[in-house]
Amino acid sequence: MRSANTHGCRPRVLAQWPQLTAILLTPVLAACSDVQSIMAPQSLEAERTKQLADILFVGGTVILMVVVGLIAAALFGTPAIRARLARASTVFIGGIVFPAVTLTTLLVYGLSIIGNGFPASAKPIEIDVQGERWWWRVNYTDSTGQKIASANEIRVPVDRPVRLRLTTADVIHSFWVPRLAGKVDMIPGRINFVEFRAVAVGEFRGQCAEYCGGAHALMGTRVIALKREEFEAWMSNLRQPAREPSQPIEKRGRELFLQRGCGACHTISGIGAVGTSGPNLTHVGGRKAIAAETLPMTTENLVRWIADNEHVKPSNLMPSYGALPEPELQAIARYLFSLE
Amino acid sequence: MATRHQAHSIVELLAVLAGPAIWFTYFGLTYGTQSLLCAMAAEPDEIDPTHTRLVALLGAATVVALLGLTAVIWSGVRQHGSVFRVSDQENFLAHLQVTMAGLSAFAVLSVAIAVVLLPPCMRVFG
Amino acid sequence: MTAMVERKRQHNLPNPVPRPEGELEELRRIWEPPRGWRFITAVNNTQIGIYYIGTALTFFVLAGILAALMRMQLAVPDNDFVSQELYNQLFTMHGTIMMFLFAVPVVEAAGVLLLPQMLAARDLPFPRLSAFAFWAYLVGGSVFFASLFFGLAPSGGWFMYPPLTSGQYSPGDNADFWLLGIGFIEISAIAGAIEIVVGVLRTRAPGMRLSEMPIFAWTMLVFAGMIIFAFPAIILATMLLELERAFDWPFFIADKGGDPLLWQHLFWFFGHPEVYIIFLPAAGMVSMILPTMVQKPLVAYNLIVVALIATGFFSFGLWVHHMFTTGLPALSLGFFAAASMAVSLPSGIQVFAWIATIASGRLRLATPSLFILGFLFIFTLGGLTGVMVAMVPFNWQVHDTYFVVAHFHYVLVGGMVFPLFAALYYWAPAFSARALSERLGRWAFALMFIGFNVAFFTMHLTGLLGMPRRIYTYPAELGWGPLNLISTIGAFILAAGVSLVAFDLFRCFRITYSKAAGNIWHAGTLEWLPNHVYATRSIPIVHGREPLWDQPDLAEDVNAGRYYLPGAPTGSRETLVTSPIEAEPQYVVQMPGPSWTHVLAALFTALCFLSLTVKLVEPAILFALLAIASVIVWMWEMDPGPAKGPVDIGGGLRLPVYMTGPKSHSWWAMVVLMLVAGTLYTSYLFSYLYIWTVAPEVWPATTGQTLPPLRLPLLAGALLIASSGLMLFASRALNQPARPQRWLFPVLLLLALLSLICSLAIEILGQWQTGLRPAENSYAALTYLGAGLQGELVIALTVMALFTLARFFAGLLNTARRVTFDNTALLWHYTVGQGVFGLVLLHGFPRLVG
Repeated sequence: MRSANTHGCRPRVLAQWPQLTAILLTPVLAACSDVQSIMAPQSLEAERTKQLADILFVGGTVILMVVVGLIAAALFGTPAIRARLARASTVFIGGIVFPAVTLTTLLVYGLSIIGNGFPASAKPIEIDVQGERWWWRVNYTDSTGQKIASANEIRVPVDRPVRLRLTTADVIHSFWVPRLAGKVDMIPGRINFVEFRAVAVGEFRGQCAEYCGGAHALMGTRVIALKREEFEAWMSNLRQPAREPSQPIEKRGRELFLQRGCGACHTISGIGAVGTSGPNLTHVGGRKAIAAETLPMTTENLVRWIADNEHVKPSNLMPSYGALPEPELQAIARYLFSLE
Repeated sequence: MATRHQAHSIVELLAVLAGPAIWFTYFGLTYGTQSLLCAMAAEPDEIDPTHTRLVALLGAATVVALLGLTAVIWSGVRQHGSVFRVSDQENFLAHLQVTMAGLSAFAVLSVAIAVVLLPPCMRVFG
Repeated sequence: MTAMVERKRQHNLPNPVPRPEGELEELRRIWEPPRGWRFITAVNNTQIGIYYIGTALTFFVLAGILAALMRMQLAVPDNDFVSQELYNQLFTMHGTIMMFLFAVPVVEAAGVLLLPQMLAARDLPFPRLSAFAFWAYLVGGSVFFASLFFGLAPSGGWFMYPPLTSGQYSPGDNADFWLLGIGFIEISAIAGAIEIVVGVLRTRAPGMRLSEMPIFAWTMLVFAGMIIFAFPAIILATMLLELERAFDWPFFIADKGGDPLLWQHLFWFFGHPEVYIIFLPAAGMVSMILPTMVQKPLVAYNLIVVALIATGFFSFGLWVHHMFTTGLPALSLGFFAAASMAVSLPSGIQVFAWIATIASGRLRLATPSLFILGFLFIFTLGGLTGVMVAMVPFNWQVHDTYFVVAHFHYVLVGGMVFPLFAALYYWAPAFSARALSERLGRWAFALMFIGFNVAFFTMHLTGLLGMPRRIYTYPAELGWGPLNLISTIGAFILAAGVSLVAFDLFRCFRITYSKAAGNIWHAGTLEWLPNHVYATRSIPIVHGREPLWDQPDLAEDVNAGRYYLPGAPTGSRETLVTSPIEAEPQYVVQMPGPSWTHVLAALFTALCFLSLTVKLVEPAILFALLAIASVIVWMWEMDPGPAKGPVDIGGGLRLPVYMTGPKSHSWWAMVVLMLVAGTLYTSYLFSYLYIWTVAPEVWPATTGQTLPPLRLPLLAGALLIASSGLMLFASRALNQPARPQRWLFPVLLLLALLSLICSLAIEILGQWQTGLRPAENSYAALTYLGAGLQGELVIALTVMALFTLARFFAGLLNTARRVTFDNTALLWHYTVGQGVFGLVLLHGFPRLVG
């Protein structure tokens, strides 16, 4: 069953660990818990890994039970049982033969599914994702080979192989969206790739998995899998320059954006803001969150972010503009919010 | 207590380590060669014709390592007799030598499984 | 016992009773521990061992408090109990302190405390060295911990990956404090390893063959061997990082031909064996305690020894499994997945051997047994999740999540802390006037076991729900709140258990040198012989693995002085040196007593490093000189010479009190030191070749950088070889004291030193003249680093050569009393070998690939 409801509230981890966890944890685990769960895969790749995980969990539980049983037998067993256990051959069989057989089997299985991770024959859609402190620079490539910049949110078509080309601008980061694929590090001087094929429409949260200093905890991302037509439509919108403001306050916001120097770091194509050290804001209003999943996208949160980002996301590299008068902040926020 | 020649006893002691030492050399050399040749290949994810040779090289190294371990086991068994008398104190070092070489052979074979199952130099994409 | 048997027994033992008048008093006087504030000068293993363990346990508690603060912060989503920056410092310090200031030192301390007793030696062979290691550790560790209070604590995570920790992204002194702390642990670990290798192989009780050695001694031997081969990698890595931070030598900067992954390779080449370095001695404790608790010998002793040595080796083939997500080729991952499987076998052997041992008798369910049963459960679970994370695709998901946090706490806390607590309860009566409380012990165990599992089993689930490690907060919608709250509750239950043990230690643990509670468990090994300030009265002849079980009168006979060396024939501290395999008595080693020198050496070393850390160069140089001066004074008292021998140790054995050449225990120590140096250089060789595969474009073939003309390295090489030759001549000159040319030896030695220094100068100047500067690119930095590594040895040899000369002129060095020279010569020849190899590498390789 592949549900489109990606924020479904069934805690799937529990389904996998009935024997160990159900009794203890069900009452506590009432909250939605598969937002970022390894155990709720939504891609071919993550599904395969989950199957491996299931095998490992069941096998591990069985072996643990056997060992505990043997310890119990060694402690409380009948003299005959204990005499059998006390032989050196116990050590030979239990410690060498049994693990050698199980582990070899497991190794063969584990290695053979690595092979499934080799590039598929179908040509994937390639998207560049670059780790920055503490956000994600995203570049799509359109059919003409031109790069289209975005940030923090990655939209992909469902049922098509997608390959992310992973690099970093500064320190080591690691790109990880558990429901779609395992993590892959972004390392200075290297290019890494992760490939997945989402099997359901939905939104999948991820976050940086390699400690990158400062605001590492607040470096989230979101992959949105869309139907093919929706994806195409979204892409063609992304290709456009920024939307013209329709309200006076938005116009005012655009002026202030330029006047207050926001363009030194941020690009909004079509208005002459061409800075590249911060995220591209051309279609920022179309994104679902601010500052790499730190706040939901609303005008109030935009105001809060611009004025007081140092407290929202400590040590992030954008200055706080708390000195700007409230109406100016409002105008800039309204303008940015309008940029779908 | 008869004083035995110290150099002789050190050789005996080192013979105990022969098995794992062969494994470690095998492991280091095969991993090193593999990484080196792959790093030198132009495109990491393209299949290079030299890989057949690389696989042959790794295969040959595996055979050599296993032969070496067999020799270690054989020399140990010659001094020692039965391998399975685990509480034997008399031929302690010989017993260690044989068992350790056996474990090392398992470790070499595990690596060989990886060599057989996975093509060299290929990157995985998740 | 009949009179006839009594006579027969006495007849077979080396020494008659009653012992001469005053012998015992002299022995006691010689080994009398320093009193009052002079306790600082103590060197005896029992005292140093107890200080050492106490300090390590203190760091355990401190790092535990840091963990408790983190658990408070994570208890609920969106919490602001601690700030982001503080949290980052907390987890960095928690990991670093637990690994480097608790786990490694505490097992080393256990070795220092228990090994001489188990082997029936009076002390470790180099008592001041272990005391030095302890003081360096105490001072360095305390400064490191104090950095937290000044906001100077590192925040790069305990494995400090560059470039996050580089000068660019961590500009403050914080990362340098990490390097400082680690520097000390490197020094004390290497010192400890030398001590332990020589101690285990050369100071066993006569007759204790390798096959009869207590398993704990085996584990410490493997532990020391692993330190010798693992620590140099981290020593090199920390050198590279400090050079990069301080002088911009670009080892890890990708833009200049460096590679951040080099750090990961070096760090984990050390870091994975490190886990086993910690675990094996703890496993050794289990193998000692269980047989006592079931009153039956350990089942499958041989297989356990095999498992220990095999683990030692296989653990060096696992380092990349910390790097599965770095985008390496599939087959590279496969190699390490395979090795991860292979290393599971030895652990399996040990677990089943313990189960078999339990089954062979009736386990007495006292506190130590409870901790061991807890250990068996926790460690098995941790081992199973270890197999899981070795499966590559699964690893990609759970790597760096709370699943892995749970896994390694199961392995480390289960594998090491539980056995350690078992050991505390088990061995306390050997050193304390009172045993620890059985009632408190059971409560502590229950709290710790329940608390641990509640806290950490839950983390597996948190990890599967996608929570990465090292995040200071998380939003409520991710659903991790309840699980984290459970973990926090568990952590506090665990802390309550640990506090109970601390309370018990305060209440019941009273150090004593003669009135210990003693063998309350009816154990079979030698550490349970009656102990005094001088250890055992006489040194027994041992048959079998549990001599106290096999030789029922052993304790009484040993204490009566019927065995070897019941007095102190040389009039100073001494112990027996035996052959490495069969443990036949070879000579009596004279050992130093209490002293200020090693304490001052440790203090000045610490101050020197500390000044460097805060970039105060002049004081650093001053302290360095003071440290060297202290070491020289310390060393001056060593090398006592053969004058007081040979001595009678009983049973008709007259042994020399001095030994030169391969039979000498100090020769062995020097060989161990050379192994360390060799491994360090091998790590350098690996780095050099590795960087070339990553960035061939910064090598001279591409950059057009000219190489020094070949005649320079040829000349340098010729000087090196000449220097070795001169040392050989000097050695011969020393052997002919009767000859009139007394000046020949010093002249030869000085010429050898001069050649050595000139050779190094030619190499450095040759490179400098081509315009190559170390900050240029990784090639240049590595080239100068090669000279730097050589330079370190040359500096050491300069000091040693001048020291040797001084002793020569003082009349303390001659044909018979020549260990000082022999040791210098050994290191000398090694240095020449390394130097020649370095010249071939640095001048040959760039030409070869050009």
